[in-house]
Amino acid sequence: MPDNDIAIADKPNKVGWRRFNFTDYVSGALTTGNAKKEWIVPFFCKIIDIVIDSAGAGVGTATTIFDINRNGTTLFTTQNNRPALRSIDTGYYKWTADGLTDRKPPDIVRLVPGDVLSYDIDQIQSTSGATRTIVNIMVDAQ
Amino acid sequence: MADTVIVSRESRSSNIVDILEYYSNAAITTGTAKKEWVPGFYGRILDVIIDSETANSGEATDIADININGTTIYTTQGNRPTLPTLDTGMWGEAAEPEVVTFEPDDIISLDIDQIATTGSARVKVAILLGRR
Repeated sequence: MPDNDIAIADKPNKVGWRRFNFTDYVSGALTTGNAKKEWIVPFFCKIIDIVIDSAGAGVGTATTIFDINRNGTTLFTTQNNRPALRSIDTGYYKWTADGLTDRKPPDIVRLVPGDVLSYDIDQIQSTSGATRTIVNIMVDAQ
Repeated sequence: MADTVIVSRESRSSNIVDILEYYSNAAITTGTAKKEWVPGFYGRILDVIIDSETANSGEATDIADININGTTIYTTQGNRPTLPTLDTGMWGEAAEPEVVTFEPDDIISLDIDQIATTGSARVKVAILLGRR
């Protein structure tokens, strides 16, 4: 049962750009659903990383899969690149639906003032979802 | 049944130090101190943005209030953020709040003062903070 290390795709801040985090934490077992949390984006920014981590394992088979949306439309046009955690794993979600392959960034990363960022939980393990889950969407703001 | 587009007064982040956030996926209910924050620095409130994806229903409007140490920042209470019945989108303010400066150990809080028969849902709040 691998415990994936968190790996942040950090990039040096460009001059005049600043880092903000849109965060959420779920202590209990994850359940599927849309718009689990939503954030108002007040400034021009670019998503530089999406870090999701579950410290507690769920029960049963199936991969846990998240989706991130901009104004209700997924950032992951290539749906197989959604953040995923295999049923036997804890820790960091890879950005691929098999939860195994190294991550790939979302297709849409640029946000503008007035956008609404949200996350869905598209799939959880068959018996109960993972627990102690951190969601951190990092943006560089203009 | 208007759907008001979100507008931010600080579209560039250079003045923003922090964003105080609140989110309710379910229909909001009235209550004080729905969430409270300690800012930790001397600053001022740059903007209060509230948005509902799902409309309220029934009589009356949804009204929120923001407080510093329990006292409203909207001295003119008619200027509190308001969402008319059956509308969605950004809540309106008739005018800016009168009290916007805060100190590091102040407590900033969010109240929901009034809802329609059923309050709006998928409500997100962003209070933008800047330095003085």
